[in-house]
Amino acid sequence: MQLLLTALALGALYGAIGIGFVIVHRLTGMVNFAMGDIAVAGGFGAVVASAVLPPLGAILVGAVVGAVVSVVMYHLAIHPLRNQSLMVQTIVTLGVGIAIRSLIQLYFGSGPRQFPAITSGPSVDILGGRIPQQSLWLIGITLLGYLGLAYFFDRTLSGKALSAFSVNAYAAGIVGISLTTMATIAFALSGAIAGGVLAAQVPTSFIAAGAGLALGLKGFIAAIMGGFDKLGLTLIGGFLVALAEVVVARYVSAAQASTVVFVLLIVLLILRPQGLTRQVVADRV
Amino acid sequence: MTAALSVKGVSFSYGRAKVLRDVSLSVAEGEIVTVIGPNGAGKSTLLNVIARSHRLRHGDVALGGKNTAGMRQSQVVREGCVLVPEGRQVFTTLSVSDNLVLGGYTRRKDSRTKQLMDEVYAYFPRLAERSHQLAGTLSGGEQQMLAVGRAYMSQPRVMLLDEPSLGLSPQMTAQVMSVLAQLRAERNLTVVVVEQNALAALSLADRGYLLSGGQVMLEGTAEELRNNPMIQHIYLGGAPSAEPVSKGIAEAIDHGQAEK
Repeated sequence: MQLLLTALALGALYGAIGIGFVIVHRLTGMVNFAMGDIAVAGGFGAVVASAVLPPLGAILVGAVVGAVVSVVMYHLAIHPLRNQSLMVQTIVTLGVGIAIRSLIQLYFGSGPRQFPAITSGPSVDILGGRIPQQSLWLIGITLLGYLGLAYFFDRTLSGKALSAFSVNAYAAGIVGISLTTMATIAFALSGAIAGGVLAAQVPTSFIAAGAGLALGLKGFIAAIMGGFDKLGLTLIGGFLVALAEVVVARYVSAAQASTVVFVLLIVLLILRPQGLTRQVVADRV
Repeated sequence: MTAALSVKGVSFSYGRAKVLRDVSLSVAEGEIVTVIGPNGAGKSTLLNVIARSHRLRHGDVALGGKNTAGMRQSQVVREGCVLVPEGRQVFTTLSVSDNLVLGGYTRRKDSRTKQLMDEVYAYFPRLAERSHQLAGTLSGGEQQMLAVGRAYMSQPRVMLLDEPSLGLSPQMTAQVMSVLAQLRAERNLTVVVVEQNALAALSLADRGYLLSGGQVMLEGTAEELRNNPMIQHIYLGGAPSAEPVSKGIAEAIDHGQAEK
């Protein structure tokens, strides 16, 4: 039970970052490998804001910072390359990730940072397992973000426009939906959910500048499990990644946890490249 | 009188392949004009350049006398010029009603969406029956109706249609064409329709242009083009099914005009 609870909290984080991947991929067809670093930028934004704001406000700032960094990245690095191949754009995101990581390191150093939890107090007992109150907040914020996004894509005109653009970019252009506007929205949303959720996790552990790469890769695996298409399945994928990680850390060795996760990634890519979805997601031209 | 749509000296190339050479045409308000021509004549490219799905590099396109140079695609739609693309290109994973709502994307600030949708459903009752179905599950003809309806949602003054009869049964073609005639009659809509099915197109249109090898080879009233020996020889003689189609369309159009 304890493992399940830990995995739930950690999985919410991976799932949120995975959702960040999915939103951008659905629209543009590229994989944004700077996702983890954007989330970390959001986390540090929250750390800075926590000096003057209560934790919940700081987490909100974290989401905003994630969104802003993500949008700035799109306009500076991706938009000028919009006529290049997806491969070029994807490789550029790796570079941007390194740049963001280095900038954070330059400014904040590589030491861990933390800020207080939203509600202080002892951990909560759930069916024999214990979970810090902040982790419940983290899970709650992730679910709220997920529901908000689901509502956005299903019910609002901008959300439908984003979906329409993913289905048929040519036709979306014809009805007057512009790529730049849609991409700006998509990058903002993906940065916001990743940055905000990571910020919510900061009080339970801590955050270091170099965390982005590993976070990004685990979010990437979650996104693969979601078929790079389904937000809900991505959350479940994030939970499964986290579960594998904590089980290995508990019964095998904490040092090997990441290794096992990445071996899982390889196995997954070989056996079920379509993720948990039933059909293979059609390749976009 | 300023033309609803005027194209002057437009050229276009894909890489080094020249597809349009100095094409000019002019369409008056409320007119139905067809552009016919063989495969690869540049008909689709012409429409895509006008609608700005392709960039306009050489030449001028004006809508109601307003030059569209420097306009983005969405601005062209807002200026009232909308494309119904070849192959329908509906949003297959979205519902019929969502497709229509998105057709009005550039008009999202005014609140006539509901009213416009009802108008579309009145023109195409079949779409009303299927409003909650995913667009991908519709038949080809229904998708074509949806594509026209989606274009209508942007409240266009000029509608560009790229091969609306492609893959459609003669009855379905007649139905779509008759709605176009109706839209012209009731809303003074200007229509430019590109067709390989020359006879069907000429029976609907007032005037026509023959495009071949990226150039305008002929222009004239539909009557003149129909009687032109070259066109008769190349386009009309070769299609065995053309006769009943055009007859059906002529009847449908008479019907449409009787309603006005």
